[in-house]
Amino acid sequence: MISRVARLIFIIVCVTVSSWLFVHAEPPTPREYMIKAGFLYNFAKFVEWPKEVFKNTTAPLIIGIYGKDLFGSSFDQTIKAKSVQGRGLLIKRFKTLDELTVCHILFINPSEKEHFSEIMNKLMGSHVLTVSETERFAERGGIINFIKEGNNVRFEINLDTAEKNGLKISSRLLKLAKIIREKG
Amino acid sequence: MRTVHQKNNFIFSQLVFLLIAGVVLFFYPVPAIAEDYEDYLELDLEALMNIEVVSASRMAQKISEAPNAIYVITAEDIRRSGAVDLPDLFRGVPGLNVISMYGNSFGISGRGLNSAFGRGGLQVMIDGRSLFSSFFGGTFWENEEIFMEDIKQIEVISGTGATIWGGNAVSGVINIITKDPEEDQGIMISGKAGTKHLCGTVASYADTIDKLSFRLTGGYWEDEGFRGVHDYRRIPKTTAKVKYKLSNNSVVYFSGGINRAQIGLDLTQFTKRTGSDFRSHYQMLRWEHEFSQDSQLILQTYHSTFQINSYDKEVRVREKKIVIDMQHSFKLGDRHKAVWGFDYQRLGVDSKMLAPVSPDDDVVEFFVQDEVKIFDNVSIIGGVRATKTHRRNWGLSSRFCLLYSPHDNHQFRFAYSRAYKTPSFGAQYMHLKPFPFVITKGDRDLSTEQMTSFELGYRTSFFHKVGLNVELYYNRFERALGVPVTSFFPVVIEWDNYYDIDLKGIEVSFDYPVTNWWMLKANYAYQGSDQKNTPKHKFSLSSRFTFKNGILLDVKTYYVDDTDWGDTEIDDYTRLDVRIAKKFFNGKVELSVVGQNVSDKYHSESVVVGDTANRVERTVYGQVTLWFR
Repeated sequence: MISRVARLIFIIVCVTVSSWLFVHAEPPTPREYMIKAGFLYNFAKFVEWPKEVFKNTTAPLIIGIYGKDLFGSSFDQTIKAKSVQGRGLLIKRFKTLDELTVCHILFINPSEKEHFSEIMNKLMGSHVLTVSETERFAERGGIINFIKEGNNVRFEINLDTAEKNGLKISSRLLKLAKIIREKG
Repeated sequence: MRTVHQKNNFIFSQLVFLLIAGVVLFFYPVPAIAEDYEDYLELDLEALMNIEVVSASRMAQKISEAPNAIYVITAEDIRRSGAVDLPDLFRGVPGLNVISMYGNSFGISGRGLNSAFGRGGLQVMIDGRSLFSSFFGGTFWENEEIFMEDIKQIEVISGTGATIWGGNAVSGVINIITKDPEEDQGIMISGKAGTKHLCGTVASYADTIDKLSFRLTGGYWEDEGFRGVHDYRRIPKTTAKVKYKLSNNSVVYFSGGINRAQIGLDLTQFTKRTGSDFRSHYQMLRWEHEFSQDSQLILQTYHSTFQINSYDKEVRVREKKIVIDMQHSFKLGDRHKAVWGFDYQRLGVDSKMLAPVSPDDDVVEFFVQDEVKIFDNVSIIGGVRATKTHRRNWGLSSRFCLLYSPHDNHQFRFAYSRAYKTPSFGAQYMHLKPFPFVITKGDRDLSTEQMTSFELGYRTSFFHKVGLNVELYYNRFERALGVPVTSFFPVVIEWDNYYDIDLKGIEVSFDYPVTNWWMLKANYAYQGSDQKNTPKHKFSLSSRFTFKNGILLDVKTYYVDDTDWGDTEIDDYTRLDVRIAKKFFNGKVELSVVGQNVSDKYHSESVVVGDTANRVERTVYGQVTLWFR
């Protein structure tokens, strides 16, 4: 009896060990973040920035990631091949407020919750589409907030903040979003 | 007598299905589920909205900080398992022993114990409402008051949860949490049909209007149970859960349900077949208030009733419970996380099966627990619970736990606890003649049962993928209540605290996302005790496949060692459950086929009336589910 169980445990260990041989140094991006990356790409497609934000018609659209990276390096490689309205796409990563430079979409890691107000202050008047995935982000100055509905990813959009930042959001995006309006 | 057939069944059955999975993968056309960045960046908005995030994270934060051995079953696990009865979900939990008796009845026990009535005390709760029947001293799994579709997750706590959850949690706690009315909104309709003449429909509607959200679920289930045994079920039931946001930090929940089951009881050995009515209903009100981020209060009260009336008029029980629970959790500075509260229960039992004097029973309990962070990676948790029942003095249960994380990914837990379980109402006052020639007698002077336990646990995850959990325990269960037979004709069974039991064991759980589309989980439990009817070894292996072409396949294998029930021995068995499903129309419709006990025409799990081993049969059913969101 014991030997039968031991045999099974042995098989599982073998399967496990052989799979470990193929493990990359970087942990694989969980599906949830690949989905969110897909959304970020779509936000780039369906949001209009004021013309002066881009140096010329071929300047790249920059997606910034603030805080610990949840998307992985594969995001950079695959996005390089894409384009939006004739512009290429670039990913930039920032760990501190000082490092923050020009970008058009900024995804803020929810672990940076404490720095939200500082970040918003620095971005004031700069036409950046801020995105995160924390409770009430869209009510605290953020523009788009990812939420989960059961096992699906959804998003909330604060239209007022978007307008204040000079951003025009296509109806294609709006009709799928949960709209948050500023409370008087 | 072990058969060669069964010996090879275990590994063989998994391998066969892995092979079938491979074939299905090969021949079925066209990708529908993306697997890398390239694919996700190709999807349009609507498609992205429809993809399900199959979360590999089991709420890691919460579990690794828990001062108990917890096993979590998520809504996804429930859906993918194809289980129609709650007990079937627990077969894969290392710290629980599940036996099917008839097609409509189950016995679930905690570590080291295995019986028809959950001896040793397993507290089962739905949203904090106890399902424990004080009369029978166990939970009536026949009376399922909940819809599987409404469950958000189930937390199984192995080991003594007595300090927080009360005296009935001596062997563990099963905490069933239902979905919030704000989750999973819209309409859901599903229908099932299959062998055993089974057919079931469930419809659920959840919506939000301003500050009010609700979920209404109703359904009907019927099946004929096992062949040759009179164990049918006809269960219409309905539940409602309403949530109202009083303010930004205050929420009120109301939930209620009605169940009017009709269940067959097979007494062919002694008398004619009969059936009985199980009716139950409950109403519960719960208030959650957040004073601040560091201080929360929960106050709840509920009333629940259940009645059993057999058609031959022999069995008649009516149990009514009114409970008030209060719990306040707060943080003190950076280092203390405390919780304290009280519980009051008033129980009324009415039955012709009780001795003439059977008072209503009151139970009052106070508890307090504090978690102190001594160093950054060391915490100590201490808790105490005082219980006073009507006829007895105050009893004190306590628990002490040490948590140590030498490194981010590793956590050790050591716990010691001492819990008391007062004898159930039935054990004290029952005077029952369930069949002619059989008498069961209670005893008012029974002592409390006492469980002293030592636990050592280790949890880790490596390579950010693999989860491993190891538990060791030694429980000493003293003055355990049992029902030894004291005379043979008529058969007299008299409740008595007549023995001490030593339970020791090891549990190992392991989960591993082998690839993006194959999730593997395995559990093993070794149960060493002098209880001959507890299987020494228990194993379960589960593979979950989410293929590129949209096919969802779940294969679960269980192995349970042989058990000795006195006059009858039950062979070890292997059980194979399979589910295949596919979604259509952008996730709005799902078709699935489920097979339970597929590998064998039947096997035995327990001994039933007449000392015969039961026959748990193969079941197959198909299901259609529609969602309108």
